[in-house]
Amino acid sequence: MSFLHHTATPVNAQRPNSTPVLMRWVLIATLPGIAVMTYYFGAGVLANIVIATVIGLALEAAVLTLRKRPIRPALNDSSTLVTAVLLGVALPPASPWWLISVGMVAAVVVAKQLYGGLGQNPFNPAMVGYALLLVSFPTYMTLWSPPQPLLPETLWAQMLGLLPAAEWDATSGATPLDAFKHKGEAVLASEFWATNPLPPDTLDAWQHSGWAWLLGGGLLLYKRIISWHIPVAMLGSMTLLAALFYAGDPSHFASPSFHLFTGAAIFGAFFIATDPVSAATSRRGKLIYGAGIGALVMLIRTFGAYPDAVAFAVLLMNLCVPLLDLYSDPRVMGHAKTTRGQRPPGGEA
Amino acid sequence: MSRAFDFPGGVYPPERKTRSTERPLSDTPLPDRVVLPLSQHSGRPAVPCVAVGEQVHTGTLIAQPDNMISSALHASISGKVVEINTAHIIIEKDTGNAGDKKDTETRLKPLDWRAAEPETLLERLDTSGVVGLGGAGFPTQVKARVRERHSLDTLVVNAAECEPYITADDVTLRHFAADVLEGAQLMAKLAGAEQILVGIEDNKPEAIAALEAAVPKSLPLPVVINVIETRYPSGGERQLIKKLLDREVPSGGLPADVGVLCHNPGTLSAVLHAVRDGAPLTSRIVTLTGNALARPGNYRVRLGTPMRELLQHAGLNAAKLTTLIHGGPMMGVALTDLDTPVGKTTNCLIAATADELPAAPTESPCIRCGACEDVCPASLLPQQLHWYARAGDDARLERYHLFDCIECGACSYVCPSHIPLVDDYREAKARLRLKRIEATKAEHAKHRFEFRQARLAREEAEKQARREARLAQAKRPSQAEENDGASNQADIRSLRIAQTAAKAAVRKAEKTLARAAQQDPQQDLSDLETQLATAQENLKAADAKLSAARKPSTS
Repeated sequence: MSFLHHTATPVNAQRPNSTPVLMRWVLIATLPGIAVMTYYFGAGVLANIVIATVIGLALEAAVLTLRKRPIRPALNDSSTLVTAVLLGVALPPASPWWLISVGMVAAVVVAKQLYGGLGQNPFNPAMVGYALLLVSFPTYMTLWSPPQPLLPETLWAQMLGLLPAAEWDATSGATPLDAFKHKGEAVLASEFWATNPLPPDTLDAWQHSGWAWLLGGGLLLYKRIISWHIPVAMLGSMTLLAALFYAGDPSHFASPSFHLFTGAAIFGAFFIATDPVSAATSRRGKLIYGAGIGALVMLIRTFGAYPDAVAFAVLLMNLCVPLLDLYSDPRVMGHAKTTRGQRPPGGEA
Repeated sequence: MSRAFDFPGGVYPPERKTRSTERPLSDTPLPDRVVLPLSQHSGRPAVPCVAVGEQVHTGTLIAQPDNMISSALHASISGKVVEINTAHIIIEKDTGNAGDKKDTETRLKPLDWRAAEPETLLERLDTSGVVGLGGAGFPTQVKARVRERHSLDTLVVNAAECEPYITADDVTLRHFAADVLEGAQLMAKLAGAEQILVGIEDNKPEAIAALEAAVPKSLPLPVVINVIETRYPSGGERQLIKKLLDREVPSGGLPADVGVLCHNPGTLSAVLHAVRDGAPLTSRIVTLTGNALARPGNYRVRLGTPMRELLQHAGLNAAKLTTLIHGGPMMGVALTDLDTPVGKTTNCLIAATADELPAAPTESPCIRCGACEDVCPASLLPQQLHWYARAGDDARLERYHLFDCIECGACSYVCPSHIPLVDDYREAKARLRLKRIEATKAEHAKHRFEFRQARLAREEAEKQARREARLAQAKRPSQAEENDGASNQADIRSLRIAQTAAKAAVRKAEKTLARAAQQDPQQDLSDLETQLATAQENLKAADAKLSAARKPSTS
């Protein structure tokens, strides 16, 4: 028992003092990224977020009612809001409403509430939703609109799912990662770039978004909402692997900076992988967890079927968390060695 | 001395110490009535040695230590004993002479600690009822005897006083730095230490200045003052030893295991008074603080004074008081009864208002953020302990070292979900302790049962042997059958083997007992003795059976 509850203390202002406050800071930190993405990819980004939020909150309330749990505290903790925003940002801008809804059902109902609600979910809810959609609806998930005005003409039709498939293709393109992946075996990187394979401003849009997410991540670090371990380990292992590949064959592999600044690497490192509930808990465990995600992202991007892989990498490492937790105990003061990985006396591990 | 050493974790709660240091140290008025609990220390309660109606003076021995770990108790005012029960002794001030407010005091013979024999000093500590005044209340005399089994090199004066609000040690040092250091020299002499280290947080500049002024006169051992960063819980014994000396007290062990003895400044000054002035422990310095008090400060208080009187003396605004905390805000306990008496371990009373120490917000689910792990000063994994404590998974609680938790409350303090982690740990510890006791009891019962079985078997075997001997006598020797001899031979062989095994078991039990007795003469050996007796009974039974089997064949 500590009688000194830090809610009242200015000394600890550096550290957020309750779960809802913590979640709200995460939301605030997403603002620069959302702003830059909206600037480049139009209001579809915001539309995704709004739809995901409305559906997410409704689903959460509905499931809590069915589970006969108090609704207000769960909605007030803003955790569903965070899930909705993260999924909304991750989906291609102006995704149809039903796509977002399916994703939110997987995220909120299956990945979160069916496991027991906040704090109980072994998998990152937003990534469960994303991965399900990516596997089930690849056409909608792999097409990403090129930079476009704030209010593209087809926005409403896209959101309502009324846009014919042919026109859908016309309004969308590939992400830089996707384009580079499918450049073809015989094409050298220099030749590929020489053809101007992407619509104008595409690379800028992705790079500037990356910087904006980095800014938000910096805020989270500064406010000590996340620790440095996971983002640094993840981006570090990505950079290392990308550099190795690149150094080995620069004509076929993309540079480390291309890997870091296109796709979801930075967003994933600061906002997805750092979800405390589904990440490893000890500091040592977090380093391994982050490095594992980075390595998996690079391996799937380079050798797998998907152009980007943050969702799969995070989910795969979520699976490893119980093992990491078991093997990453710090040495307790007064003990010569850790009991890392030991079975409890008399119990089964 | 380097300050590079560090302990893991720690937090920086608001200190709120200045409010009780602004007022000079003063005495509270003599109480009319004191309630002196028999258990103001760790160990067994003291045994009353006065009768109701007896006249006592301040310093009269009223209860004696019971057995090894216990402490004496003395009257803290002069007057008459009015009540004795199993929990406490109550003394009331004489009301006979209206004008007579004089408190009469009785003291022991002053001793010169530099010349006195160690045994004399230890006995004086024992009879003066000095215990650790920092909070644990461990009898100082017992702690001083640790030299008998450990070799010590350093005496640490734990003046960190890291909990918010509390300033009793700070004020003790400001006023009596020389006494504290002399007490430290005395205890260091008893312990055979070679140096004295003072660990003090940098938020007590006046106490540090007083100490620095007193150091040159402190003889014979060298005294080093080590000013450390203010960080809770640097005053935890293990944390301070790590910080000052970079030594880790082993799990389940004592500071003495790494050659260190820790004492609190208040205790050291009480030690000196007991020896130099012959004054038993009858009063102590208490920090009275909190926003519900108009005159917070440090007061010299007679033991047994009801807290209500003290708080009123310090200007209690009863309407504003919401929580009364005994100890500090991190590790203290909330009191419900304002008439609780001040005891030897009462270092601080916080009369808090709702604004300054608000009630804990409702608990929400753990989100595994790991903030608790970052602040744990023992490098534990508080959230794992939390899950397993809630799940009642005792095996995993031990695996995650629940018993290394010092209950400092840093994890509860930072938890964004407001989970009362330390409460969970205390509960789990209590449950596990109970389980251990039950397990030992069951083990004892099992050994006693085995002993009884062995005794019955031995008696039966002896009876059988006698019966067979009688039978053999009655039969004519010539009638002994030839073919019976072969099976008898086999019997004898197996009985011989059993006898040899029984002998080995006896020898092994003897050895175990001897080794245990050598390691720690104080521990309870009755269980091992039972096991030895069981083995002896088994041997006797084997002997009897063997001789019974041999007799008919030979006779």
